[in-house]
Amino acid sequence: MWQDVRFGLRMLRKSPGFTAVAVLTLALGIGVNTAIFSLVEAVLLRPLPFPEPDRLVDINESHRKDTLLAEYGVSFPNFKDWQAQSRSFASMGIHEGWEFWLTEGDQVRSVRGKNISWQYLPTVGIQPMWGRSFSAEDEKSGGVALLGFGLWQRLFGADTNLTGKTIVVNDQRQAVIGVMPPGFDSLHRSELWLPLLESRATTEPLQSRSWRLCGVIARLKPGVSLHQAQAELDGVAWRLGDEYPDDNADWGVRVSSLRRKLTKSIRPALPVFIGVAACILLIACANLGNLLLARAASRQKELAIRASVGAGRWRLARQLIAESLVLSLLGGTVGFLAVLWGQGLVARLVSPYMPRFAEINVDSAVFLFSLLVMILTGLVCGLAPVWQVWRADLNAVLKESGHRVSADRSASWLRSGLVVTELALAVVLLIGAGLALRSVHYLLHPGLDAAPGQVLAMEVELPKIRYPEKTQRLEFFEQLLARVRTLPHVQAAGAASFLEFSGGARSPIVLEGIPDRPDAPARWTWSCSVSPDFFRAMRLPLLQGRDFTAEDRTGAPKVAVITETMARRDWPGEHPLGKRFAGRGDSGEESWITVVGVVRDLRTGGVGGDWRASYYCPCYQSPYLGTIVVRAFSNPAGLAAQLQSLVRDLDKRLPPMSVQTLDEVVSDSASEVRMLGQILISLATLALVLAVVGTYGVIACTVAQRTHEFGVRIALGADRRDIALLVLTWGGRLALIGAAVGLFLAWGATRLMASFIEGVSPTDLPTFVGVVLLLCAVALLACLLPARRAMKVNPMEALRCD
Amino acid sequence: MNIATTERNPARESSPATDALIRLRNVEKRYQTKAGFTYVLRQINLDIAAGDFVTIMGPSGAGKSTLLGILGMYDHAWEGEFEFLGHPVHRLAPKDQAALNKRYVGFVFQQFHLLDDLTVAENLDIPLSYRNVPKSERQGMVADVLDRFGIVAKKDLFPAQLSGGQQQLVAVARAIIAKPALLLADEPTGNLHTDQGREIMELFKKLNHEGTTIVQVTHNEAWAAYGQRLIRLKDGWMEK
Repeated sequence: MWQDVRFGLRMLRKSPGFTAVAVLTLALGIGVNTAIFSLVEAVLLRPLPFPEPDRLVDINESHRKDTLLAEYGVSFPNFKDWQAQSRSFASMGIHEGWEFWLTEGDQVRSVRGKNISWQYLPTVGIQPMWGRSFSAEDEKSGGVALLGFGLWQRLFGADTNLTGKTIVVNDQRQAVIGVMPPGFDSLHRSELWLPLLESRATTEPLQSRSWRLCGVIARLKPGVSLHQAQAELDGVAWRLGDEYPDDNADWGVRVSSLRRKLTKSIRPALPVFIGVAACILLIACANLGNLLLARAASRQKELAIRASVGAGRWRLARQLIAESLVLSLLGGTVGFLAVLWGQGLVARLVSPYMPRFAEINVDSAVFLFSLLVMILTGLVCGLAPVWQVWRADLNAVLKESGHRVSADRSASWLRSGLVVTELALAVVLLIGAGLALRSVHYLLHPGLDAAPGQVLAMEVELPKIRYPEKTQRLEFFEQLLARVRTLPHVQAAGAASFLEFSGGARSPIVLEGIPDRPDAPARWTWSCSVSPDFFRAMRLPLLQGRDFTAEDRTGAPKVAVITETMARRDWPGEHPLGKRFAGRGDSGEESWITVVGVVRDLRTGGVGGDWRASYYCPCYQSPYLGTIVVRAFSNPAGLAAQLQSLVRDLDKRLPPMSVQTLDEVVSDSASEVRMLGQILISLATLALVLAVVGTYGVIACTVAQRTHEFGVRIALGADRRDIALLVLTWGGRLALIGAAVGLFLAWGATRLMASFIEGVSPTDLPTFVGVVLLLCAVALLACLLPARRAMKVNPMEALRCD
Repeated sequence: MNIATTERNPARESSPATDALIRLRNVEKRYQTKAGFTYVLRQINLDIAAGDFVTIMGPSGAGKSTLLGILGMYDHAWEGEFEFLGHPVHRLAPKDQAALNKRYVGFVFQQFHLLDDLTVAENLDIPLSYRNVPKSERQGMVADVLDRFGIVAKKDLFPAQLSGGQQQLVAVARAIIAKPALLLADEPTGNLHTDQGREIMELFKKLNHEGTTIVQVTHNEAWAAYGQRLIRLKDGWMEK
């Protein structure tokens, strides 16, 4: 065997061009597979980095009538009842909040963090790497903080002596009592933890059972299954529903494995990635198989001589497979090293969307997978030339004095079949990428009026510790908007609690005059507070009724401007102006909201979003504002700095607020599908390049083998263009067959993508047709060079063998 | 001159009226090598009249096949003067030379060079399809030639299913199916045994009697005797 390997290496050295193309092809195929496997292994296969991770569960509340949102957060009182009434769990911890204000020098900046109960860390099974964890006592007194590894390095230069170290969080000094190990930050994406104070837990809003914004982690007792825990909490939830019908009727509990929960968003996308990677490997294998077939054809004489001096069929097969394995190991090693070198890049690319991204690395499992792929690829690709040599009459090869006019028909069929396979797989990937691209395009055009690039959106986050009252916050926004409107180039400015395509809040409503039957589906409706001028700044056309006025204040009858979708859903065929609705569970005359206007819909961003049934209410009646929008007369580039400066003028201690154009906000809202699209487009382009290289290789090789035939044809009267046409027709036929097979495969495969794409059907005709045209055009381009070569065949040179 | 634009259906066309089919004056063929020029043909002066049967002989490397390539207008890189049916080939672009070839020349190879993937009938059809003969006419012409050469029974066989002699018979039939004025044959019997070779030479003789001008290259004196004229080449020179 070693002799075969040595001979294989020598043969590869003799043909550097062939070796380079083969190694590069395999490096791409195996590299992509290794990279994708490293993601899959880190996200899906590797256990969570905590003790006995299978016992860790995530608990959510769920509304039995809400078919859109499967899971909600948890209210603190319900958590306390679960803790007291369940026996399935060894421990249970709660976490709340998502952002803190950290004072660094004279700057305040926002840091992702959590208030956690003291049981949270023991439940997860993680201790600080330095210092101590929270105790029950800390929930009473507070004043202590745990830092994430990165934050600790940044603030204290990795000083392990924590004595006397303090930080100012939300304007209050906290003693640093511990540092969490690296990687722990990625659990719930936090880098700072404070104890959930008893004093907060017993006051609004945490003490309300309808304030479902906490998260719960629990550890199952040994021997207790997920189903047993679920059944027990179901019982508790029913009891709480009976006990607190206003807040808990129709509310249930959902217990899920923590690992599944953390990877829930990316889990459906991974089979697509795995399928794409497998397609690329198959294309690379088909390419290598073709190259090896061409090589074996040109080596038939050498192999015949080997056979004549005693080499059996198995011995020849071993020789060919050894060469294929050597190539595969070389290519695979290059691909593996490339992944090793670029693993940081991959992690960075996917980090905003990929849970557990910090754990993505190349470990022994990835190495073993890569090695297995290399060996299998080598074996599979080696089979093609073995088949060709086994079925050839090697004695005839030695006896053959002249040249055959046409190439070996069976080998030619096999090679054509491999090219068709490559092209078909490329079509599948291109269609997938095309659908993702069209979906991204759809999501990036949510129905905004002209020039969303002229609108700036600035999220203004006011620390509750300094602006505890709603009125204080409203005043801040009023002052800010008044100043913004005085800036030159500003056409209109308004504010909203949030921009629809970047988030929102929703609740069920009831309509006046229509009884709210318990068995009827809930009318879930999104709501948003807006300031005057908001619609003008957004250029959201008012279709009926009026905009908000100064009269729509606290104490005046509640009013709302609703969207077209809500008007159609709730008052189909009726005039919606003057109709009234209220939040489900709200009572009293003052709770009714009157419709005073109808505006055009805005489609919500992200996959699963749609034209929303939603309503806008005036900020003076529902004082929650968080984002200002400013429409400029022209390019708003210089306006961003002025907006930030105005915020600082109003409060110097606020951190710099991020300003984006509306285009960018919309683009961010579609970031997950955009990432999927980018990855698919990159991989599909790679697949297309490989398939085209394969097509070129086969056509070029066939032209070389058919030189005599072309010479004969020219000698018999064929024009040069007849010969070119012959080559192009053949290439075109392969492309068409490949496209047809690819379309058939894509018809089924793209259904896998249905949950990722929006606004485009998985069998979108323009995408399918576009990809076929692209493939045929590119395949014909790949045939041009061989066709030119065929045109230049000199009949006398070609026939000189006579 | 643009031959292609004035091209007519060669199958319908009679042989040219003039007697001077080919006229070569000081034709030379040479290659540039590191050591200078290597000559393959030197000062070839040759006249071939319509209806001639000319044999070219000479040792290997004498330039026989090269001369045949020039006569067939497959080779465009030479010097001197070459008139074909009064057309100054030396002044014609390769494209126009190819048009002349297509109209007037048929070629028979030593190795037959039938297309392996095509049946006998399809092989015969190929030259006609390249001359844009309508399909309905082609079928009739192929049937005529199959009948004339006595190979009707073989029409659906592939070349690999024929003997060497049968393959060369088909190759000759293919070369003359478009009714060329000039038939060039490069060692047409080189791969055949004596009986088969004689059969082919008798066929050439018959074609020549019917008016086809033939130029053959051979090493065999007996087959050379079928021709009316013998030209010997040595080291690129024509022996007087």
